[in-house]
Amino acid sequence: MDTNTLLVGLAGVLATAAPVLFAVIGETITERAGIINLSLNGTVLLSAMGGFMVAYKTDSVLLGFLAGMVIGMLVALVIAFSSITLKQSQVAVGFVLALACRDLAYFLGVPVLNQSGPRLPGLSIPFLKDIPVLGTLFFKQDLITYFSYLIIFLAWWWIFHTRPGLMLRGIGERPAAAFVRGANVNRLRYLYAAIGGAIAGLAGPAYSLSVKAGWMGIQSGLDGIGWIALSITIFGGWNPLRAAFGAYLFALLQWLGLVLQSKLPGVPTQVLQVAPFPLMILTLLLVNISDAEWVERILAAMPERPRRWMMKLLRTLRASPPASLGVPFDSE
Amino acid sequence: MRKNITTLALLAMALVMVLSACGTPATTVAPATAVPATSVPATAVPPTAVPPTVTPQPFIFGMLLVGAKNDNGWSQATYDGGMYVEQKIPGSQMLYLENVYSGSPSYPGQTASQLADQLVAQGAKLIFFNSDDMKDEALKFANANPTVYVIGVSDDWTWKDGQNYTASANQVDIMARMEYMKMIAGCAAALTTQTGKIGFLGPLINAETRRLASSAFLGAQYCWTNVLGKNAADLTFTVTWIGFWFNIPGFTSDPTQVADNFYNTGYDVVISGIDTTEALVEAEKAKAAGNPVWALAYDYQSNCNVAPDICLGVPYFNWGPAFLTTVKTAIDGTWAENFQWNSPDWTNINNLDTSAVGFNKGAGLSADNSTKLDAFIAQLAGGLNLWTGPINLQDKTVYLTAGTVATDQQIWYLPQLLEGMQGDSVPAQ
Amino acid sequence: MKKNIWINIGFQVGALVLALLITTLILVAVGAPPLKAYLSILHGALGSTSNVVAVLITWSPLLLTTAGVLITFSAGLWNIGMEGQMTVGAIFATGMLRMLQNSSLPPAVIIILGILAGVVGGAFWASLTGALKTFGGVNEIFGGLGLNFVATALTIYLVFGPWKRPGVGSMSGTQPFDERLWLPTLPGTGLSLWSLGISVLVIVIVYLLLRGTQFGLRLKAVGKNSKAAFLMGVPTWQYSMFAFLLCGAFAGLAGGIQVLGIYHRLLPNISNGYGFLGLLVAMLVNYQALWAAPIAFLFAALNIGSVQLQIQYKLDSSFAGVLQDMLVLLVLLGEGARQTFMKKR
Repeated sequence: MDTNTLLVGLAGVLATAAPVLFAVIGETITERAGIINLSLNGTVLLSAMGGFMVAYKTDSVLLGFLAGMVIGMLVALVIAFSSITLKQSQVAVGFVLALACRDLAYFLGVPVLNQSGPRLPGLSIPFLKDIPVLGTLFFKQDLITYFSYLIIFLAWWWIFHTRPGLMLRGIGERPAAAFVRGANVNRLRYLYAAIGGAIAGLAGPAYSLSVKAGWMGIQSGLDGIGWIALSITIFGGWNPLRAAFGAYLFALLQWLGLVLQSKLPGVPTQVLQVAPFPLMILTLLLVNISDAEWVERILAAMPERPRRWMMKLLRTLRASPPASLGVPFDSE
Repeated sequence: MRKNITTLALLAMALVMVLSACGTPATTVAPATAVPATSVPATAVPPTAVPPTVTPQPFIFGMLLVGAKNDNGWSQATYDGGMYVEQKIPGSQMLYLENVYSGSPSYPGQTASQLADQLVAQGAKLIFFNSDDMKDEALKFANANPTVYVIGVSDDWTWKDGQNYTASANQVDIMARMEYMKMIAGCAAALTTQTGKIGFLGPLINAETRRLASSAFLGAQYCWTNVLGKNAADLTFTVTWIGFWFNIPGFTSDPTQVADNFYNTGYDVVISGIDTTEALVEAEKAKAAGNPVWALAYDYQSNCNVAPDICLGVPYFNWGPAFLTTVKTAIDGTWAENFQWNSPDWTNINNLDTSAVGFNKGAGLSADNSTKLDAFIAQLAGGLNLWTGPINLQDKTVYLTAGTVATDQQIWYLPQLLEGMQGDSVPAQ
Repeated sequence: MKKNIWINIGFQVGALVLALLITTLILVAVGAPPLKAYLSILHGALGSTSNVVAVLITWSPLLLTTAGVLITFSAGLWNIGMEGQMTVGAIFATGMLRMLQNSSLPPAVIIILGILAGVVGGAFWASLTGALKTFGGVNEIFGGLGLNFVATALTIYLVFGPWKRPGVGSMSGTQPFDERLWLPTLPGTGLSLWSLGISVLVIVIVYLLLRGTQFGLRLKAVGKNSKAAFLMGVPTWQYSMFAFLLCGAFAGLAGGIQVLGIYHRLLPNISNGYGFLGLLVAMLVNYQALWAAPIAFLFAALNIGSVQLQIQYKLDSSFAGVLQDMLVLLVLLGEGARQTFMKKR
């Protein structure tokens, strides 16, 4: 494989990762505010169908993306409403919505099933596209992919480098303290659930109007993406940069699976797609055990070099979830 | 108290809003349900029809489709075959179920034979099982329901000279000789490719798919060497399998990615072997991005319409005639167990009333290549048989010695891909 | 007090009515005649013996998964990983059958060993989620979800790899087993009284277990307030772990039955979504075992009945799912609304 094909392939990886990225960044923001949006899988499917349907009817890709955002936001608001106002389990409602939105997408999508509709055109960026290596890699994509680069840094900057971002982390970590400092915790949680949902709602149209254009019902190949995104969010340690890394890693593995199909005898390549899940479990495990006494003891018993290596690995993989994730807040 | 009621009302409204937000587009869209234009106009069945009782003794037949009836591919081709029967036999009516395959989320816990029972309960006297995936179920159902006629599309149970012959009096298996049309597709690919690299987007691996991929290769190789006069070694022909007839996320490879990967790695023509249209859709995208590539569609006669400009043509199934004659035997009582492997009508392969398979050229095929392709088709019609030795299997064992013509069994049960093709012959391990 | 009961009932009925209203609106939105559609589902589910038989066939695994989640829910655990546990149960059952199919053992013994292998497989897979939860602090929702996909990958590996049909690489599954190794069914139908009987037995046992035994009470105590239960001397983690094992065993049993009684082979997606559906049923009955059986029957009936919806009205069979999901969603929200309402009074 020559350099150019490799670059074009990797550019494809960046594009296929874009929808997952939106889902992951949206979920990261929502969870940072202390709410788990378990409906992600349904959101992706319903926004993919809805986005395509609107674009198909209006012949406007832009309206399609907007429709996806609205759907994602509404679904997230149902979860916020049930958990914040009705004090019900977010997990239960989110789970049911994951299934409900999926089934709704299949049922309501029949009229546009297998129709050819509009698709976001590619848009090479003048000048930038001519930069050697980087041009091919980054700047011969379409608008939504460019936006996906942007959203990573936007989210990261917002969460870690702005005052509202500090507040956002506050309501997810110690809502009581944030409340005392004058934050309207529940209103902010509503707000961030809506924003996170809207961003996640871009994932659907990013598929149905760009990466995997069209709506093919259960053959669309989108069922499961939301669960993958959920696990990448956790692997990403609630940090947009690391989450983005996770999304790109996932897309890279999928691509490698194809490229290596003939070179990996004995391994059906679709098995590689499962990688985010063990990684998620490992991350969660490390969140909880890296401080545990028995881990320290094992580490202490290790020879110097492997121990350093292990500790480094543990440190990189470590992440701390928002302390009040999934815990309702009552100001009374 | 009042506040509570307000809360409740809000709750109700919020829900209705969410759902109507999902629902609204659908209301405006309902009229668009129409199946894309086909040469067999959809008559009969209005959308809300219940089995008619007006016509005396209507012949009702059922069809289990592996995909969607408008998938622009295999399922649409068989569905249209059923519509052809409905149109030609007044009073006959087709019932159908879509997305019937092993473990389909549409029918949790229900097997194809149980779904066939449901069609019979609605009055169906004959059931089409439209996919290799339902092969075992078709036989099981036929044995369990001796009074219902069964047509196994692409099955070989009733082939007396086949490897799997099983007596099943109420069953007929039908396949068409797609090999020829795949050869034409392969030829079109070879004539068009600038890079000398042809990709084959393969479904799952079995005898049928090996035979069709290999036929495409034989056609490509013939036109590459004999028509263009180039060196056989300069032609790359690679098969990548996704694992099923269409994409099932998490379970198959993603055909969109497979197609993209072909186009991104110098393959400028991809021959689709799957039921859905990813090869074309992605070719159109690649072309829009300035990468001159083409694709060959499959299964369904109008499949090129998905992306006409990059489409070199479509080798398609025309099930209508065979379905019609077979259904007629069920009606007039002359039904007999048999196996059909139907040929094209070489006088006009695109005669929809006589030819079992056909090839529609696409707008992407240049005029010059179109002429060359016509000449190739004429040669095939004149008796050119590319399944003639010397042909070696992929592992270089001799399959056909020089001059030997392959038997039907040798073609149907091809054990490996052929020498010169890249990609897995048999599943991993 | 009495008034409260009426308010409770009012909220529940209201939720159900609202759910039906929404699904009706959805039907209208796609241009289907709602009343006829509902009747068609009803007829498709119960209109003939063969339809009822089909409902019973799907009722059986759903009962098992529902029984399983009732246990874990009682212990305050969300066993979303049942899909995977069912899948691994199916893998173990298939493995056992493959190992013994050429042996001289009588078929009945092989079948029983196959089912038992399924039970073991399901329990084993659940124990992973349980261990991650109790020893590693990994939330069972994420642990279970992750292991679901790992189980799927395992099936794919087996179906396309070591257990593939000769010369075939297809999602369609492994070579079907010899007919003598199928779970015996009523003649002319796919219904196995064995599988039905076992499932009913399991749900009855779970009902009794949760209702009248000390084990059940302690399990619920762990679920309600794990710390308090621990202080009261209940070995909490052992109870959690046991709940997982039991739930996994039931899921594995269901997986084994899918292999031996329904598909007669291993295929990807062999769990058919029964794990998720079981969660829905348990949520809808508010974790009360008494109602689990009839509601599971209703859900099974919706699944089967909706096939007629597709045959007669060309409506996608996902409508059954829409109806099921809406019922659960609205009942959950209704319960929340009721609590909010009662609290404010």
